[in-house]
Amino acid sequence: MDDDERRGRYEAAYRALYAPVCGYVTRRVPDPQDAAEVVAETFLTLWRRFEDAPPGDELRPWVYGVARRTLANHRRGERRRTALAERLAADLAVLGEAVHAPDVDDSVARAFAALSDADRELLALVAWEGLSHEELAVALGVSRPVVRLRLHRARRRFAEARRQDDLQRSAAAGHATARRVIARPGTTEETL
Amino acid sequence: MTRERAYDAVRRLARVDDEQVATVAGAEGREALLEGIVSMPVPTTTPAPRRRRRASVIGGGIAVTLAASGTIGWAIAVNNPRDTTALQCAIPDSPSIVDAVSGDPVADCAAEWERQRGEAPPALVAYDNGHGGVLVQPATEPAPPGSSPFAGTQNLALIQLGEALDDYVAGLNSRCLDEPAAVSLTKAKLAELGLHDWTVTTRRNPGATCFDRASPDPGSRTVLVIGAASVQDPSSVDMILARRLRKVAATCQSLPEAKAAVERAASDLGLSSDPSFVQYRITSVATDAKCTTIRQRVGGAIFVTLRGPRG
Repeated sequence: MDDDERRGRYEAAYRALYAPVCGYVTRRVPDPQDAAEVVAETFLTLWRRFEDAPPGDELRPWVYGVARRTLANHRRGERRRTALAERLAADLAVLGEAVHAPDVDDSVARAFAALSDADRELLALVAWEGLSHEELAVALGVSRPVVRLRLHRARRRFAEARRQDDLQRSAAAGHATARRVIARPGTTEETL
Repeated sequence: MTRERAYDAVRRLARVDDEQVATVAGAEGREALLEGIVSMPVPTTTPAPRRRRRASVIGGGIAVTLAASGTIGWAIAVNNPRDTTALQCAIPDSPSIVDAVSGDPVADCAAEWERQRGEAPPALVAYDNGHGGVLVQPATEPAPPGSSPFAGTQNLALIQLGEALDDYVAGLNSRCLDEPAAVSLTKAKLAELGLHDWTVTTRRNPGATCFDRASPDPGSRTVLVIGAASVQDPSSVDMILARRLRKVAATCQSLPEAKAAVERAASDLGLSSDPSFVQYRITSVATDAKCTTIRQRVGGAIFVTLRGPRG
């Protein structure tokens, strides 16, 4: 593959993956400058290691894997400011103004937040990025049986987290009712 | 909860969907970023034009040999896999691209295999993949189309040069280096590795103040040092670990002593080497050196490479 062919193939891959990668990152990084840095670093890694990237359908999950590792660095506190990301940061700042918090049942959000980082990422890769088991294996660098097992456990823990949240809310509601019943006239809940 | 209900519940938590992103992440920004990236030098694993011209001269022996089989164009156009600093390791269900460490691709793949699967690999064989890369796979598997057996080793000096320049302990990422300091450091690393006939060139990206990236090209024997960053955060975990490893590296230690010291430093920072979520990884290479060198690279996780005496 000569330089022109390499560049042409990279550009095709870049244009196909630009929106999905921007989506992947902005769903996980609220700050537009930080998100732009992660996107830029991800595509720069793809440029530097293009010969290592798998062809065809495996490319997208492979790039998500790169983005995931870049993001992990970013969350660990590595902060670089590159000129590459400036234009994209300006774009994503507009996105930040337009985004509204999704209308979801609080218990779902609480249960999701209660999961480990690994469980959340696994479920998000399926639900938000639409990855299949095979693609997850590529993105996470593990075997398909391991993906199935981890997904099964993550779903089970998510269901358990929702059940626990429901129980706590029911208990809290019941406790509040009981306190209202036993509160005598002239006393406040704070004094009971 | 059914599988579909679980995913549907999670789906509704996404703060932004791809359509919203597409409305703002438009063509102008996309093309600006693309132009910035493709203006970066082509990595050494791919033949640059000047390198192909050189190959047609210094690689004459190869070209003549293959010319007899009618593939001279291939010989000139394809990079020498000996100069790659990574390899493809065909681990079942988990094909991996790993950094070359020892120069022996079979040994490096075997180590990765054991790390991932917890068992020794079967007999492995290395191939030149025909595209300038090295592939290692079980000897029982048929040779991939277009490949040929890869004998010998990858370029260890080049592997170590990459490690030394990317290094957070004493390399270009150890602090924010201006252009003269980065060039001086690069020349010193080249001299340490016996690469005396190499030259150093520089390029600064707009707005950048730290020369923190290097692109060695074995074809032209040139290292391009790039000013790419405008800020380096000394409070990041990577930099804190590097400062601690710098103290370890300042003392003469055996490989086991240095490994234990790195593990302590990483553990103190709460970093995990658990295979399920690797935050740092140590690779040890036994050498005849008197003291252990410590290199720290960052890319998805923290990779520490130790080269030193067994102790």
